[in-house]
Amino acid sequence: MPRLRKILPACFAVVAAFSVTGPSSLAVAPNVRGRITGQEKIVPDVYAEAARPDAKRWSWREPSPAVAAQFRNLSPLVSREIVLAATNSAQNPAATAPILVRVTGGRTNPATLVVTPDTQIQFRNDDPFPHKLFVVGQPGWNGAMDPKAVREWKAPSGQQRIEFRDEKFPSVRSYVVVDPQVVQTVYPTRENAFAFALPPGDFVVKAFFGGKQVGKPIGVTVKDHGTAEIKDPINVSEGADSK
Amino acid sequence: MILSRIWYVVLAVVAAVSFYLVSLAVGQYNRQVSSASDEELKGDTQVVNWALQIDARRRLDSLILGSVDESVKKALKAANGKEPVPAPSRDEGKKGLLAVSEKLPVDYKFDALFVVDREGRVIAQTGFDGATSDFELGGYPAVFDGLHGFLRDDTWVLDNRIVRVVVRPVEDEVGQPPLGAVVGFKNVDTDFCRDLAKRTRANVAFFTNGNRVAQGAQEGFGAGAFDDLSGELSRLATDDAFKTSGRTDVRPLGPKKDASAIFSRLPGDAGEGGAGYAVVRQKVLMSSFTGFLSNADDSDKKNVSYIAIGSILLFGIVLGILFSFLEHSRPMGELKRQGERLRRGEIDALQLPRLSSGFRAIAQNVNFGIERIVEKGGGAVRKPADLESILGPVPAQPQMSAFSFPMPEPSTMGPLGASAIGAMGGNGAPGFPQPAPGGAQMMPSPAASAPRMAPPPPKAPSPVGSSPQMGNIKPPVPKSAPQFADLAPGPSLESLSAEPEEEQTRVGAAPPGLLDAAAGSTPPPAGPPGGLGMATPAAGFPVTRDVKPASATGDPPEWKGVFEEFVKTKRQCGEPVDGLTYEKFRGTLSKNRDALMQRHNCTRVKFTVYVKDGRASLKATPVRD
Repeated sequence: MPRLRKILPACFAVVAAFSVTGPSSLAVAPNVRGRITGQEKIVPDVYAEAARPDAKRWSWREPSPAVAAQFRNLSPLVSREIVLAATNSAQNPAATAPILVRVTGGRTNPATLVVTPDTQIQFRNDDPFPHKLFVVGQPGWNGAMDPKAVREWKAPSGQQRIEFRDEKFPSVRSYVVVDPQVVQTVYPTRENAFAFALPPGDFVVKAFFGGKQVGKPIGVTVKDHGTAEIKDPINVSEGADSK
Repeated sequence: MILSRIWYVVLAVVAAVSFYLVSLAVGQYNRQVSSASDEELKGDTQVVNWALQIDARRRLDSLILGSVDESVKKALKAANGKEPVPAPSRDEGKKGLLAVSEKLPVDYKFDALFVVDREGRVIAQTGFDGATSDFELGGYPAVFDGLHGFLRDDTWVLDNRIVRVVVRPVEDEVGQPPLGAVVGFKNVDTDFCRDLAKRTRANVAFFTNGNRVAQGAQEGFGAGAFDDLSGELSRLATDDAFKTSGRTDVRPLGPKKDASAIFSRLPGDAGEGGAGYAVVRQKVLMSSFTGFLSNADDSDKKNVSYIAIGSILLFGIVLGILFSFLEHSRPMGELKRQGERLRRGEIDALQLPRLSSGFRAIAQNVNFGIERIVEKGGGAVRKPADLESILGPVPAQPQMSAFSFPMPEPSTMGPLGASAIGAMGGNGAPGFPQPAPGGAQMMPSPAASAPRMAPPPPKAPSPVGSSPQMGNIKPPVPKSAPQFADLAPGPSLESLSAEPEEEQTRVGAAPPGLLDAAAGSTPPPAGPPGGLGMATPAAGFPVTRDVKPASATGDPPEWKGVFEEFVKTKRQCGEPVDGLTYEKFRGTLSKNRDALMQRHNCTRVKFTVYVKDGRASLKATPVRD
């Protein structure tokens, strides 16, 4: 119990800071904790492409001699690009409140979302210049945004993967995974930890990166009391595209 | 006028060839200029590309001032992992950036500088007033690379502005991940383009989203060529070379194609969006050969050999004047002089040999006109004898069995037959040129080289027949003068009547039978009774006498009868017979007979009296036994 007293505030902080408003928004203490690993072995596609010499995306690109080689890998910013989703076998309803996605700095924040069908997503332009998002393969949605403008998009029904891009900035690539079985999603901390606050029941924790599921799904049973600790970290490099 | 005409042809050919050569030169010049311009344009494009790379490299190197700045490091250390970014960190970061900006070389100062923490958040910035506290840069690949320990450049398009970006990681301790990165912006604006154009000596324009955003050119470059880029920019999206290799081929610009450009894609994110730069070069093309004149400058004009031009001009003028003098002025002057002499009465007609061919024909016509006027005025003109009118037509085939020897060319036979006339004519035939009897000057004629047969005279008003070959006007001769004298090559009728011939003494030696026959005591031996072979003049049938060589004088006895018939016929025709004696008559017949016999190798010649055009005429017919 003393240990629980120490962990609970931290879990609340994690959930408050990084959880996206999910299908079952819980304001209770987190009861499922875990970690991810292997993030240093994965690279977002957009940066891998931009680093290739034949992509003609740069004139000069060279490693800084003062930076150790182990730090010179283009690992993703886990707090924005890797998402963990707790799913069950039910058809969960859409989120009651729209999910805010900031468009700034050459990417979206977060870059990957997992939502239930009919969930509203709001794209807000936080750059001082315009953006123009579009859905790959699904024309018709107007994603042009002046600074501070907001564009809403509604997740379709069914299970599918949606990719957003920006006509003006090729580095912007956002992925929305639509899954009706999603109960709650969280983003890891800078220390690669995550925590769910789930109702009692059986859940499967999945990791997503670049719009794709990575790592092995892990089953979790949540009871009325106690916290489930996922002992083995989810290796997000498993199932992901090799570097 | 042949020389003048040839000269005109030569001038026309020279002008045409010159125009052709100049036209070829225009095409070759344009092709060479275009080829050279294209090569230079490719070189310019490569130079601009290198200049942009060097600029990025130097800016990247200069940014090391920011990556090692203590204020920047301090700001990043304080901001990393903090939410929100502490205000002191922002202030410290801005302080560091200002210090870095001050230290940068003038040529490589940035328009904006940023300090970015590990998560990509902008901690501090200078020169980018639009940035908010939420502004981030960490998602751009260049910044992402910088945050992961790479030095890198990039090009972005921010709201239709092209920005050159360089990023350097900020390291605190060796072996540790970067604290963050410093980012430098350099706007591609007019100043940047001018500086780039100055360094590369090229004309450069940057474009994005199908619009030109900045340009820089050398002095003297027409800005209109940049305006012509707009049409090409819209076609870049469909250009395969631009999409695959990032560079187009040389493209002509403008309606006159007097400029060309190569479009290159900018490296970086901007290039992904179609942004790039165009290097433009103008070329001086010739639309026509007049361009050589309008585009020539003073140095070109100094290189021209005006001596050669003057020599050619003088040569052409002299030749032209010489030819016109020889073929126009000089014969015209001769014609003028002859006209004056004609007016003064020094000559009776224009002297054709002194005139050239063109003026000779004119003078000949004038002479004919004068002759006609004289003739209309009642004067007599001297014309070639009309043998046919005198001797009568000779049939192509013999009219009598005695004539049944083959004629050489019946179709060419004249009144006496071609051979006969040739034999008779000799120098006396009216061929040209030859002096007329009595010193008359004969005009040359194309007929001079013709066979001796006289050409049929043109339709003349006189029954005697006027010939165009008459070169001079003789004193009037009565129309009724017999042309019988023209049968002989020598003296004319006038001369016969004027001076007696030696043969007159031999006439008296004629055989008595002939004299009797001439007196009408006995019928002519060869003639049928009752004047067989004679035809009344009115009927137009000829009176025929067989003429045989006389035994003593060589005169056949029939000649007397022929003479009498001839005199009789002339009287019937109302022609005067004064001065017409048998001696003259037989002398002429004898000469013609001898000539005909020699020519045709015949044994005798038969003379026939007949009426032609109301006048008595004689016809000589060679006969072979």
